[in-house]
Amino acid sequence: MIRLIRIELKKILPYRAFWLLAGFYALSLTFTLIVSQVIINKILLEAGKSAPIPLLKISLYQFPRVWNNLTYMAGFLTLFLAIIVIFFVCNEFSNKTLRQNIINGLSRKEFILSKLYFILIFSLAATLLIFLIGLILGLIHSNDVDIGEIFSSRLQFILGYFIEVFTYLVFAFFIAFLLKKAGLAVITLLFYTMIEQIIIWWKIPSEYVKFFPMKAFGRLVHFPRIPLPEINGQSIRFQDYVSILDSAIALLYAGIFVLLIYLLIRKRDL
Amino acid sequence: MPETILSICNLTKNYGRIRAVNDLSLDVNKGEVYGILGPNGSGKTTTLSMILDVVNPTSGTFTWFGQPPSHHQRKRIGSILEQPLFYPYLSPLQNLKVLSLIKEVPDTPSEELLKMVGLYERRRSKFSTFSYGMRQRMALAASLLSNPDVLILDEPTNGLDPQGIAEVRDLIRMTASRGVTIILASHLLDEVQKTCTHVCVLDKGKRLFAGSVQEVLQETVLVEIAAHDMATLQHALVGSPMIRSMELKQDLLLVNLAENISGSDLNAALYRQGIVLSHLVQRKKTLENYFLELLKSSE
Ligand SMILES: Nc1ncnc2c1ncn2[C@@H]1O[C@H](COP(=O)(O)OP(=O)(O)OP(=O)(O)O)[C@@H](O)[C@H]1O
Ligand SMILES: [Mg+2]
Repeated sequence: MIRLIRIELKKILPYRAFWLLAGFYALSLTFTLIVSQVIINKILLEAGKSAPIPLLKISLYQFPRVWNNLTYMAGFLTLFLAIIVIFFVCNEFSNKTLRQNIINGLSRKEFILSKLYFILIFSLAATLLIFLIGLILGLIHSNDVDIGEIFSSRLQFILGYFIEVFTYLVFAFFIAFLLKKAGLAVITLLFYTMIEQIIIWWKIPSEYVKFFPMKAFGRLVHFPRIPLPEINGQSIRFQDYVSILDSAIALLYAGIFVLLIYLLIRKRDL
Repeated sequence: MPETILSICNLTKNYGRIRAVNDLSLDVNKGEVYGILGPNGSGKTTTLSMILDVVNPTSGTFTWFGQPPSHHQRKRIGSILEQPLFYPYLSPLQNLKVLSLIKEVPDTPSEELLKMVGLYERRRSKFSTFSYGMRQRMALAASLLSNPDVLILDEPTNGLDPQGIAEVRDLIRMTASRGVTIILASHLLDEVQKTCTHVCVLDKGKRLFAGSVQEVLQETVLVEIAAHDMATLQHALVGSPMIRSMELKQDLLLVNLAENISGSDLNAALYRQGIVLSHLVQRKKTLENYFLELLKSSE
């Protein structure tokens, strides 16, 4: 395992394009987070002018709700991470280095494993990044910080986010592996997301929606936590926890895709 | 009994309707320098790809070191297959590092190897900046990194300058003298004749011949003859049991003699038929003659 991880790191760490894309991701993430807070404050400010009762200035990033909101918003940018994975995997095809790796003595299984380790580490790094950003934003936006609030049960959204990213990236790995061409894979990923959305909207009863892959990967953290006042006496149902069933479905899908990748690489001429 | 390194048994590969390799069997023993010859598209690369497990055979089997194939065996094999393949954004040293991790060997010889192939000054440039010949040299260095028991070289001199070609030849000789088994696919028959101990000739995926180079060179006797009336001469030889084949080249007739027939036998026979030769020279036996001959007779 250590050997496979070292191989992957030697392959990717000196790769400039990787750092460019990763840096771009980190920047757009920070940007999205800041801008969404600014916009919400603006809306509230406008609404406050005409409201009979003064609206409190709210923050998305107070402890403990920061974990929920942050992971929700970061979820929109996971596509970037998927694109990095797609490029990294497709490079092995376009440079034919996969072929050379096998010739040199890597087994096909080891190749898949090494890429899965990479995806695992990459997802962990992305999660750690979110955790650190959450910690910083939370400290800035909370008045009196209580350790119990920082490490509240809402921290499970960080775990949910990790599973979300990991399973989504495994799906990206599968698409990349199936199609071999980076451009084609990225387009397919986008196109598939759209098609699935349309099919669900068109025909599928809501209790089955969670069984669709993109929904499965995307719904672990699926509703932000904003302290909205009650509307018509009904409070909006927020997501309070990450569903175990949803996590299980997502992980099951990831398992299926890994299996498909394995079957593909066994049959394929490289 | 020599130790068998590679044994191929009835190997076949179909690409759709194209049969790239057709029921091929051969054995390579320890210490041999085994040449695989054949015209373009005859299945050399496909064969090597199958024994290196990057192409799945349609049918047939092979063993390495007497064992069924596994990726551990490939760690003991150094190979260049057609094009040199490396990570373009990594330097030679970084590429060799990845390779050493895959092969589970130390990468300590890296610098030494790069010196040997003349890439030491460029050891920190990206592979993508290399010229074709430099890439080929890099591939040679890589194939030797693990101190392999077997070296597989598919067109190793492709794109090399004359000095590079000579260096590769020396390298093959030197490596072979250390007891390393070498499997070499090449078009340069002259090279093969100079370096190989055994050859196998493929055409359209089928094995036409397999044996030692010595055997080939003993077997073939080629003479060039001429007479005043070339047409009569040619006519007299058509279908003669004394020859395998003949070919008119300018004003000479190139004749490949049948087994146990010498030039003087032929001369005597022709004389009896009233044909006086004005020219009779025994050509130097070359693999090239034999090779072309073999392909022609298989058509
Ligand atoms: N991936 C492929 N798909 C379809 N046909 C292929 C493929 N690879 C090789 N072939 C066919 O298999 C045959 C043998 O090809 P191969 O590359 O083994 O020849 P070769 O002896 O190495 O030729 P060369 O001397 O040109 O290198 C050719 O007819 C080729 O067209
Ligand atoms: Mg070839």
